[in-house]
Amino acid sequence: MGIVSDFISKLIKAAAEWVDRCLPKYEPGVWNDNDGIQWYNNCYNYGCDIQTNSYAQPGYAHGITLPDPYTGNGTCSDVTGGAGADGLVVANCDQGCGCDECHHQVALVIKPNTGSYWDYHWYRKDRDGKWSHKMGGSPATNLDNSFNVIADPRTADRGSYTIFCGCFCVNKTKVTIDGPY
Amino acid sequence: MMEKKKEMITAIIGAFSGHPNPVLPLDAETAEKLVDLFKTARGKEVSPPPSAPRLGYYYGFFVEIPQELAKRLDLPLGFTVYQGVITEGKGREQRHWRDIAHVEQFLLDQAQKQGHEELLKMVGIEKPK
Repeated sequence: MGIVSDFISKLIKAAAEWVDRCLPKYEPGVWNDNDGIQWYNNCYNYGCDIQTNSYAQPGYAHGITLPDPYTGNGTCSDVTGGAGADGLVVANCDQGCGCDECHHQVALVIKPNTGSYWDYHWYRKDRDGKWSHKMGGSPATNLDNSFNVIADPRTADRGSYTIFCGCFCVNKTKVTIDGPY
Repeated sequence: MMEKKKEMITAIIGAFSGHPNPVLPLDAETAEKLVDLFKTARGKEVSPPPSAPRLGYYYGFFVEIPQELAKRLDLPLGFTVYQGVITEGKGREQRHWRDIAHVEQFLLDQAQKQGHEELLKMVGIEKPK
């Protein structure tokens, strides 16, 4: 029994360490400082769990520019291309990212340009299994537009960000992001 | 999408989630007026924090003040204004004042003057008055 219980406790410890190291914790206070961190880190920074203080744009660190918000009409493909160059890997939303690597899951949505502007937005899955997000320079939150906790970004109230593009895995040691600020 | 101008007071319009938000550079006269309005409201009436913004809607302004100017005029390095509430200070040190001087409306007017009326309309600010 001693050997088995030792093994189980080591297994539990290893799993806890992996979770601690690899899955982001929902800690809005780390982002919501009402100052530079909050206003110079957007949804992409938050999704990747990387503070660059440069308002990171998918692909920017690798020379990719997204279509203009007003005159363009960016697609899932545009943003996915940039994110892929940064090191994000497309994933099946239901299967998640597994635990073979140290990565967490994010989801991309788009507000199409219907005569005004287009924009994109990211959600991230935290270690509690729920999703959270940060709208641009606003405070991070785990609530959707109806003020419900986000169990699944596919079914969350996303306002005008109606196009669900898909999920991705983020391995922070392999992802490089940056932005114009 | 403009670059940060650290030598002058600027105000970022909270509108986009992913894309960089427009930055309003404020000329000396406008900045002086903004500082006066801020000083009028600062510390006068404590307010609860503003409610959480919703995805796809306007979420206020972030005003940045160059360090030297802030020091000289005894101002914070930055403050936000949203839903009639001015917020200064970081984290637990945050303080909220009711915007009795209409700082937010002043900035909405500046945004309109600098060509962002359409954007404001798109994010739920129907018409800056």
